[in-house]
This record gives sequence, structure tokens and C-alpha cells, in this order.
Amino acid sequence: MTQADAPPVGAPHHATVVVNGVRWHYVRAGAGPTVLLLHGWPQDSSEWNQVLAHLTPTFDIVAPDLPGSGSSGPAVGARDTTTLARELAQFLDLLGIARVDIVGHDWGSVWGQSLAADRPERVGRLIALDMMVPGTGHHEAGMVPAADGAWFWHMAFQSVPAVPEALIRGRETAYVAENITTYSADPTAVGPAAIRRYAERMRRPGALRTSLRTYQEFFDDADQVQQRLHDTGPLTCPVLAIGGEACVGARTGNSFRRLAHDVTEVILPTGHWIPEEAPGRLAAMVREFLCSDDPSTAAPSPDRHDDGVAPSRNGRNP
Amino acid sequence: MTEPTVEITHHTARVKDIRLHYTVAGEGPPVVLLHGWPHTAHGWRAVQCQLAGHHEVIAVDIRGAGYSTKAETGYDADNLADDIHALVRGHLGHDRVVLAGHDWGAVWAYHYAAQHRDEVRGLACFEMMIPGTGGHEAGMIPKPNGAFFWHMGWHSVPDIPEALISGKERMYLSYYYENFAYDPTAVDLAALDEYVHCMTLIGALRAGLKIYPEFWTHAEQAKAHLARGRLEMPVLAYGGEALMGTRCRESMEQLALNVTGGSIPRCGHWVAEERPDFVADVLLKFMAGLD
Repeated sequence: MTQADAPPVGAPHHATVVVNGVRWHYVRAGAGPTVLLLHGWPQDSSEWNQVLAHLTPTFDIVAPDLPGSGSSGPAVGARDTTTLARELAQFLDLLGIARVDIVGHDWGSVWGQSLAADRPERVGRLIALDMMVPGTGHHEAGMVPAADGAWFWHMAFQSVPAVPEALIRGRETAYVAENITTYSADPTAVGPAAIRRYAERMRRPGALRTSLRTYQEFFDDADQVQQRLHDTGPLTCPVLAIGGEACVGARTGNSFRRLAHDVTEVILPTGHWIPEEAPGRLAAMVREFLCSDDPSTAAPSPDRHDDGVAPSRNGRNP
Repeated sequence: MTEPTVEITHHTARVKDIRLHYTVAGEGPPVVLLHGWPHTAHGWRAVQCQLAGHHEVIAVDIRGAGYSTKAETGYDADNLADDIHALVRGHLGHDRVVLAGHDWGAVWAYHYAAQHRDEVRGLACFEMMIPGTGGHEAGMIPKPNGAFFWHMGWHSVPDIPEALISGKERMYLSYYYENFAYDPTAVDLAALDEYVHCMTLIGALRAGLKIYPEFWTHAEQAKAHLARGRLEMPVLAYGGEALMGTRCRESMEQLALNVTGGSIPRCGHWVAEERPDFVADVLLKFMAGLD
């Protein structure tokens, strides 16, 4: 890219870097303190599209596609939390970013906490969206089969080597649509166009194999999370745990309270897909939590209702 | 794999709300063979032939499987057992029988025996732990590397497995016949053809998967039977050493007073195709010792 082709400062631009031998695509936009947005499964960085516009006036936003997702390449080998923390640190090195705040959704919050634990000097504050971290017991409990499919069966199913990939192959759209709509409060919020986009990217060679590897790592991840807690103690960075009440909900805060001293908990009347179900509400809470001098006393409260969704406060960690 | 050496005849009977397909070989005191998932009565063919010299050997395609009706409902344990009882007692007129079951077939054989204790001379269970006795409940909890009975949990989820397996039945069934075996060639391609044929009949995949959401109903019904006392008739319980092993006997010991059996050497899940001689031999000896 020549100087003349460079995007104006703050305008969204797409770029790639090679991390650990794998091509990582990311979008970067805005100006201000850097915030790293980490997507989960079965999504990619485009899950932040609506949130992005709310945050770029305040922050320098970096949103990568993790290997096996979006426009990033597939990876061979482990996708455990230690590997992801190392790769995320390398990714930040390549972008010349020393320290970030993180907003992680689903598995993105797990990898965000692993980076914060393994490289505490790199992470200021962490916002975790609707997820239970392997090793805290909450997901483990939810993965035990119960009647009527009322359990996190996809966590168990997708932890099996080879079979899920073979069965999901060719059915990506139906499978993603099922996952998205089942775990929504408003099953139309994400919408068919986004579902097709996620599924399309899942069909790239090696993508599904790579992203499903995350689930096979669940048990190693759980051991690593426990080991970190034993070795280095709880996270020192302030954590905002936001649950969607129609999905993981309060278990988000319950799980992160096992891993951090300073956890603020909020429940939104959404499902799992908070960045798409409540983008304006989420952006307001992100601004409030990341911009306050003392995040432990910053009550992310409803000052905007541009999603038509009001948060309910669920207390916070004493 | 030994192919049938004696004549096996095919029959259908109208029973309750369905049509049941069953096969018969030999003459003598009757023994009823019940298959599991994703099997059919065809799975018993080698054992059926070896027992036929001394017994009338009846192998039934259960509700929803093989060539029997792909019913929408009726997949709880007591009703599935009642289907077989209606065939055996009502249609065939046998007052007392020996029951042998493999996989889920062992579960329904137990439920038959528990509900008709005076009509069952002996019960033989192969490669299954009975829902409600804790073995499968423990085995369904996720563990690393897929080393848990993940399909038991996953198949219990409504609609999803059917949507993903449909059109991929051969690949999916091959996975079980290879990965659950000690001898992965024991269920040969000809047998696989037959099982895939049956699983791809209209409604078969959906019907076959209807067993799994009833796991918890099965467990409740087994506990209700146990509350009336453990079985008193002789019970044989064997697992393949490569899969459930002695856990099958341990499961049955919770439900019956007189249990023998153990682990079948060089055998995985597909006992009647991997070790038909062993299975026929223990069954013949078991039946010879019954009143």
C-alpha cells in the first residue's frame, strides 16, 4: 500500500498479518485507547459490525477473525487457551500495540481472560459477554445430558473428534441458524443474512475443522484455567461480566467471579448474541466501563435505549 | 462373518398400532432375540442359526427399526417391551420364553421380564447398561477425546441429529460399526448395506432416534420395576471387553438376584457379529440350565 492509498486515520480498514504461520484478517477503526474485540463461535469479526460504529468515536478498535473463522486462515494443531493467549500477544506485537482493553464474546471472552492471565501487562480491563469459562464448573454442569435437549449439548457434541465436522459439513447454514436462533431472546436479531455470512465462511477449507478444535480443547482449557489460578491467582484487571438472560445469563458473572477479584455483573434481557441483539446498549456499557476512572464503582446504567433494551443490574462482586 | 447356514423365515404380524417384522429359525423351546440401535434383527443371523438346532429362535425388528412400522410414538421402554410381549404371547402364543437382547434390545428385554416375571424363563443381556442403574448416566458425561457415550446424549436432543445424519446414514453407521468394534471388519459391507438400507427407509432415521429422548423415561420405568423387587429368574450379562466389559453385569446385578456373565474376550459392541460362536455357546449353556 502506498502512502496515497492509506486510509484516513480512524476510518475502518481491513488488513492481514501472519501470526504463528496463519493469516489473520482484522478490521481496525476509530481513534483513542485501543480496544480488542474477540468474537466467538460460530461467528467472526463481523459480529461487531453494529457495535463498531458506536465505539469508533471513542476508541481505536481492533477486531480480528480468529483462525478458522471469517477471512482468516485455518490452523493446524492446538487451539487451547495458552496457545490463543500467545497468538493474541503476537498479534498485538505485530500491530505495535502494547496494551489493550478487551471485549470478548463467547469463546472470545475465554481467550481474553487467558491473555489477561498470561500477559497481565498487556490487558487493562476485560469485558466478558455471555460465557462460562472452562474449569470453573459452570459449563461442565451445563454439559451433562438432560431431557428435552435442555442442556449445552453442542459443547459436548462438538468436543468429539472428527464426527461433528463430518456431520455439519454441507449443513452449515442450518446448523448455524439453529445455534443462533435457539440461543437468542429475539431470534430475528442476528437475521438470515448474517447467518448465511457466518455459514459461508465456515465452508472455507479447513475453517470448520479449525474452529471445532476449540471444543476438543475444552478439557485442556479447563486444566489450564485451574493451573493459572493456582500459579498466579485471580485476574488483577477489572472485569465486567455481561450475561444475556435468555442464555448463559448470571452464570457469566458466577464463572468470572471464580477467576477475578474485581467483577461487575450485568444481565441484559437478550440471548447469547449481545453485540447483535443490543449493540447500542452494549456500546454504552463498554464506554462507561472502559472510560471510568474507577471501573469497580462505575455502574453501567441505562443512559441510552437505542436498542429498545434496558439492562437489569444484578449486583456486583463485593 | 458366518453367513446363515439354516433357513431363516420372514414374517410380519399386526401388533397393537404397528406391524412388526420378525424372523424365525429352528424348533424347540422359544428364545426371542432383540436388537438395538442402529441394528435390526439381521444382526442376530449367525447366532440365530447356531441356536436353531435346539430352539425356536425368533428375532424381532422393534418398533421403528428394520421392516417394522416407523411409528411416531410409543418409544418408552415399557411400551416397546409390550410390543414384543404382544407378539410373543398374543400372536405366537408362547407362554414362557427366554429373552436375549443386545444394546437397547437388552433394556427392552429387561422391561419385558420385569413386567412379566412368570413368563420369562431366563434373560440374557449383551453390551448394555440399563438406564436407571447409573452406568450409562456416568458414561454420558463429557470427557476428553470423545471418550464418552456422546451419542447417547446427542441423540436425545430433538430434531438436530436427524437433520445432520440424514443423507449421511452410511458414513454415520460405519462410524459405529468400526469404532465400537474390537474387530472392525466383523460387520462386513454386506451387513452394512442391509443396516443402511433399513435406516434409509422413509421415517427410519427419525423413528430410530426416538429411543434416545426417552432415556430418562426408560430410567424412571426401570426404577419403578426395581421398586417391586429384583428379578428372580436367571440372568446372563456380558459386555465386550473392548467397550462395556463387566459394566453390563454390574448394571444387571442392581436389577436381578441371579446374574452370571462377565466380559467377552476379543469383542467390542457387536457381540453377535464379532463373536457369534461365543454368544451362541453361552446362550445354549444358559438355556440348557433353565427350568
